[in-house]
Amino acid sequence: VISGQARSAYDRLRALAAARDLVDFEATRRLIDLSKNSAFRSWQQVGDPGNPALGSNWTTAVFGIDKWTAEARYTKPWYFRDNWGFVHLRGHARAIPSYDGSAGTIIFTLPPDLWPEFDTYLPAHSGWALFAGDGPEGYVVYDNLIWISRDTGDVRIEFYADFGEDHKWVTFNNMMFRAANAGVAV
Amino acid sequence: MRPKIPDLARDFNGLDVAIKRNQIRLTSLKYGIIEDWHTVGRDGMTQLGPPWIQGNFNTTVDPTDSFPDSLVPLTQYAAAAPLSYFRNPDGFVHLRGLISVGGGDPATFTDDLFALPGPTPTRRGWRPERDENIHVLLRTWDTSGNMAMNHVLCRIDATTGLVTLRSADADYIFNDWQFRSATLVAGSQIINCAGAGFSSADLDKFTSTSLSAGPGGEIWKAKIIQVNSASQIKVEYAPTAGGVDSDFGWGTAWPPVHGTTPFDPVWSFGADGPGGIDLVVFDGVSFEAAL
Repeated sequence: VISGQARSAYDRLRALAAARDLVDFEATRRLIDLSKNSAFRSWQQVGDPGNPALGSNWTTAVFGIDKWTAEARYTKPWYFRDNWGFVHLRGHARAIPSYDGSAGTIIFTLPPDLWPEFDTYLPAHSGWALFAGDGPEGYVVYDNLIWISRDTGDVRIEFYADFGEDHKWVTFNNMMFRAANAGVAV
Repeated sequence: MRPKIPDLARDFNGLDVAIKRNQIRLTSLKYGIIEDWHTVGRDGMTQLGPPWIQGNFNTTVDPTDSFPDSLVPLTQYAAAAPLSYFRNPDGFVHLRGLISVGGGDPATFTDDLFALPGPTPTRRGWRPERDENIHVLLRTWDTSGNMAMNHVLCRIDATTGLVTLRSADADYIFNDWQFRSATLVAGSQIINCAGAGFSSADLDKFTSTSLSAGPGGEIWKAKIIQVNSASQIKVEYAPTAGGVDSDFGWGTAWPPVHGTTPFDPVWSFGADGPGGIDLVVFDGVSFEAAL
């Protein structure tokens, strides 16, 4: 049963199809069916019930310095898959103080429907400090990469050597990639 | 009464979208045009400019070329996508993939990367409506084998589809590195940059890496604020010697020569000298296409 906004869009497309013969009706129906997959329609926060957990070396990033405190809303990574099959990311993660910068540490693991077709390397910013009690040098931000495995959905940081000290964080804001099974079968 | 397209376009998904774009989207739905990825160099429409190649990330660097011998191979990227593009029915073009020099000579900022195809009578093409700047990540090397990842801008020409690295970013990166071997002497706040040959063109350029600041400190950002007649520089920087400095502020440093570390001015690209770029990452890039 199509309802709500999906129903409204469906009806409008149907009317438009009748008027202009522009739309393959069956294709539109499938597209709207896809949008009903509620598991991926809204932002999902890592660590919430039913969602993947943060890796053992990663924790919530609660920023504590002036304007950065506004980031408190996104203190963990979030993700969702849109109706075109694109996966969007936002939020932050912070390495635990005892993290030694070891290779291959997983920040979190995406659900299978969100895995990319190829290993994906998304330009990212990482940094240190910006937490309560740290000095102003916390504004240092480095270029980095978020690496997402096509085989496991594991999300890692590509350049981890600098993560051997306390108070390291990475941001997922503005990241997007296309899932492997993104084909909207129309 | 037949529905009017403008009304539907305004209402659909709550977006006040352009009528023309909405028609394209709906037409795409009609014909099922959810494109597969087109691989640059293998699609019959595009090719990579030399020295860039697709894949070949398992090749180690030729030690006889102009790269330093200590280059790290790109094997960790073996499962990455080849440079590809596709146009979504919502009107956005997406890029993905990595290109490398595959162990050959390093690339320069002036080497063209590729050109996105333009429109034909039967398709709309994958170029932006106006020139676009997109963010990509580069892996760069200096002559000592030091690697760096740098966010830079890539320009997409709306007329030709040509994708090029912006040279202005090259200026930033390589002035960034010019201070790598400099030493800030604790207490006296002087940078050793003998023979640096700076000019007024270097004013306002920044450095952010490996500027030693005496015992235990590292300057993470300094800016050239003055160049004197002896081509020496005065910089502003945030002092960090001795650890975190709670009294954040700008100090100054003024040559002439001080300390023992010579300045190494050799940070050039391509035919003029060693060092260069060996990897460009396009994953996650998108822009709005021309109608």
